[in-house]
Amino acid sequence: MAALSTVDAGIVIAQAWLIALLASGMFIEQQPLPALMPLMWFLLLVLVLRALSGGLRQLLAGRASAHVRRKTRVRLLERFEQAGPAVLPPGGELIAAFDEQVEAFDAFYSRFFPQKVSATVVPLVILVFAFATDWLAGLLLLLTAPLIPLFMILIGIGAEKLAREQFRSLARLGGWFLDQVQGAATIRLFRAESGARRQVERRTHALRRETMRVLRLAFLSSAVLEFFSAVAIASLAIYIGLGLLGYLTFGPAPDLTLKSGLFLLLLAPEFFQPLRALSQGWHDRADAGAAAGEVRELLALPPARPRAEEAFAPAAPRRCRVELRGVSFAHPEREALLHDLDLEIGAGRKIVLVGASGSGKSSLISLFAGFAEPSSGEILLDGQPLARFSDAALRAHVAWLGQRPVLFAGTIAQNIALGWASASREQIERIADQAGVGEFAGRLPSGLDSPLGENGYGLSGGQAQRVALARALLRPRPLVLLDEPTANLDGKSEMIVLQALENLLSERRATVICAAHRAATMAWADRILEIDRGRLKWRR
Amino acid sequence: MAALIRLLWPGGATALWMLISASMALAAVVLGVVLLAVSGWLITASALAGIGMLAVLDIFAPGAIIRAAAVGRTATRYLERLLGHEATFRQLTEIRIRAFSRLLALPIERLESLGRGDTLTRLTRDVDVLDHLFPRLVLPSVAALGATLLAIVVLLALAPSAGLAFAASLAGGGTLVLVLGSRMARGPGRLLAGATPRMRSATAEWLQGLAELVSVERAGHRARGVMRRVEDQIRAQLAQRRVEALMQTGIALAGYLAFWLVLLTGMKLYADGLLTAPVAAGLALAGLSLVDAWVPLAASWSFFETCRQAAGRIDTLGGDNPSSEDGTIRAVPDFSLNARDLVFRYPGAIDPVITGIDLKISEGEHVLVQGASGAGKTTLGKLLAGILTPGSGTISLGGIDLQRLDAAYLRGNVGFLSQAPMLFNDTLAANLRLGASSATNEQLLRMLEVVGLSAFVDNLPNGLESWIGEHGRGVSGGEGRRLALARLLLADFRLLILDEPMAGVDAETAAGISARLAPLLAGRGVIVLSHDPVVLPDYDCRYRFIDGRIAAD
Repeated sequence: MAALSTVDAGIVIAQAWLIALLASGMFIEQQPLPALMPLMWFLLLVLVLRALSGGLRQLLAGRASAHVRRKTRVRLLERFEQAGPAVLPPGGELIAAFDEQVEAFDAFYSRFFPQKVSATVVPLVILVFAFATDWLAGLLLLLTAPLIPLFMILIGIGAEKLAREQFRSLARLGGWFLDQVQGAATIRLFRAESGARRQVERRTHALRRETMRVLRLAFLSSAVLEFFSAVAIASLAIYIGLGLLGYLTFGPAPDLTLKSGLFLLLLAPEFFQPLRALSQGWHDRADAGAAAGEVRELLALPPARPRAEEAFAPAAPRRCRVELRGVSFAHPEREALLHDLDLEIGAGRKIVLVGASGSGKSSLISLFAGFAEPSSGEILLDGQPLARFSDAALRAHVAWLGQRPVLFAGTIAQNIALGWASASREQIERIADQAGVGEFAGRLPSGLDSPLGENGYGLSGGQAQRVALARALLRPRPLVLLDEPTANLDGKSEMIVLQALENLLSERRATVICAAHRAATMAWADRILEIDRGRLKWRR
Repeated sequence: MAALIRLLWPGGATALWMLISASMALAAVVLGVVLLAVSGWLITASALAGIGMLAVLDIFAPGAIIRAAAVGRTATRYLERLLGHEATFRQLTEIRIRAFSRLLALPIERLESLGRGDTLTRLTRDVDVLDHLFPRLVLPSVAALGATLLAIVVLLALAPSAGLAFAASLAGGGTLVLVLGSRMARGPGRLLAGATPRMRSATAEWLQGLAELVSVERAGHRARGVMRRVEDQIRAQLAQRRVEALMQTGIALAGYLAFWLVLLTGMKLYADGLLTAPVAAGLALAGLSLVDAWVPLAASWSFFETCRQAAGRIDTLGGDNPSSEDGTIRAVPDFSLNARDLVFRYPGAIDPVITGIDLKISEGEHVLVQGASGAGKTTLGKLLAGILTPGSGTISLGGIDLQRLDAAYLRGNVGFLSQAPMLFNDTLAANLRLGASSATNEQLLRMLEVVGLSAFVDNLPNGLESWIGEHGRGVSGGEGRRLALARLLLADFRLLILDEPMAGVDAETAAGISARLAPLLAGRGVIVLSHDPVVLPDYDCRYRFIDGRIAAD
């Protein structure tokens, strides 16, 4: 980018020099037009180059920006995956970061950054040539732009404040308007349409008055820059004019010619142009700065399992023994949820975990699933510490099913197959039958191959949970974790899912831990474990 | 384009501000051109006078013009920005009101389904985009084009051949580049408009299913799918950038060629003795400084496509003819509700939610429909409130089919309390007055007492004028539902449909509310949909909701 700006500066100098040369040749030396034509063609070439370099710069800046955004998004996804579902903030915030906030980098990389480089390089190069031509003229430029860095600070303070103020008031309006828009259904329910319209009008007018008061002052800072640049050009023109007329006898003034004079005059606007562009593009920087802050925060999310070892991969048995040794757990900046738990669950035992809502059932399941780490103590699978398991080994040990099933765009069979890429069609059909998916899929024209989602079929909560159950249990795992699989279902759907669980679990040898709000309906369970005020006790 | 004009056409006052700021923008560009042109004239004349080729030179008049232009340019630019913002803000109000009105014309059920997706967020973003059309596109275009036309007139007067060359190259060529360029930007713009929501929904799906994906070791694999959507988006964006770069190069070429032609013809006219040297130099510099006003237009005009699409999306928000089915009847003999053979299936769902319901409620009766959560009670409530239209069967109010009733009349008489009521980021009083704009503070406080929120309001820093929601105090689920109940009771509905009004409220509080509620509801028809019978102390009729049907209890 700096090289391109230097080339740009060279083009600017060449252009001014050629025009000055032409004017001098024509008007002073009185050369005939044909003799000047080679210079004219040369000027045309320089102008064409200037046009091309502008386009090229834009292309390169666009690429650079695309590269940065692509890389940031890859890193965000990696970070989200490592932080895991238990740690991540709500989805809307993450999507906003992934889309809008990363997108805000674009203005910075494709507009502000190139402008900043050229605002540093081009004026400097011009200044060197101006001084070489006529030091007094150079001094004039230098003084009107009292040292470029100082100028930049001036721009920064004014423009930054302006940008912030504008950004804030628009963001506030945006948030408020979104609120009204989202409440449109409610507004209609109360037949309050005309009142709401009046509100929108009142609010935006109030915002306008308030913002304009700030802008009146804030715009002055860019007016200062504008003023300096206009005055510099004007005084340069008058200085050169007087010098050429011979009214000025000091310094380099007597040596001025039309050639050098015109050259200087042409450089003056080019000197200020990049600075002006920069001051107008300053809000790009402010936006990107705010966005970058939020993205950085997400990139700093701690991983869910900090101590995993890539090489530590015990083979998964058919079933496994589970132990808790002094396990405590607390959400960040909250009171401890689980206190110093000790527990042993024999291989192949099937446990129902009960407790009031908020008692820590889900947290305990999350610890077993490796979505979160205990704040102290350790979890052992067949005597091996879970924290050290490589990610792949952990997943080979543990199957997990949550409260709210998520189905992906695709067919029912594809959703089930997600659980085990190498499962055969027979395996998928068998598990679908056992999980009770076959019951409703059979009523669809394409059976298991019926599409789900936006352009496909919508499943009820119970139906979706059965698909999710089939997916989670498709591949045999020694430890099966179920986090309140029927919590969001109505009575009939709950019965169907419980039946499916019965089918799937009673013949499996795997160890099962199932959080539930009612233990009574789980006939396959060996024992019931209760969690109460952070402690565990066997109920049966 | 028609959509853009419909949304953006300025009202009287706004148009005036726009006109003033546009003339300031024009003046700023013209003064910049004058500054450079007169400077060029002055320097050339001085040089000639200095070596005796020009006899007399008045340096004071041009000097004064230069100084005036310098100060004038600063002032007009300042005014342009200030007045331009004033105009923009005024237009911003108009755009919002128009977009909002369009939204408010949609059926409630459609609004709710839009709210579940990304559409409403996108609508506000589209509206934000349109705010920038005037300052980013209209102002600079008017200024550049106006100044160019002025320059052409001056050139035609002083040096007709230079004027013609300039007009053809800059005004003709430049405009052609802009028109062709914004046409070329359409393809990539459309691609981008499709790619961005696809990227978002892929990300949302991945994040939502992250726990399940991690547990089956497919998170990384699926993340690559998300990245493919990101690539699509970036590709569309780069295509757009290429068009923009092309436009910028094209404009710059047209501009520089125009300058070069003016310089050439100027020199030729000078050589032929038709033009003096200072005038020739001044004209050339004027041409050069006009190019600077044109180059930024490339970015402005590739932005035009974004605006056009945003306006198009807002315009087509409702689909086709949203409220064509509204009836016109504005009176019913009584407020009895009668539902017969109701069947309802959500689009795409395998099984119907409501499989055959008959229900009759006389005016002023209180009815309970009890059933497990998730069974379809909410759907029944929305059908009875006229928010959803049954797949088959009829619902009538006072013997008149709901579909034949005027929508505003129906909404004014039948109130619906949703399970997830929306409270606005506004003051408590404003939230409560949504359906009763003239309610006094005493009435509001009395109603808050009924729903057991007296202590709640007493603990707020500014009482009824305190902000609730995002910018103020957070409201818990149970409190929110009770506030919504108070809001509903304040509005004077003749028939109320309450969907789980006491969820998240502890039994003791619920019983208290229930007792205070009874006198308020006397004479009004009430249908309570709840898994829990303790909402009203007494009912005229109780039903149980099972498997998409109801049976008397």
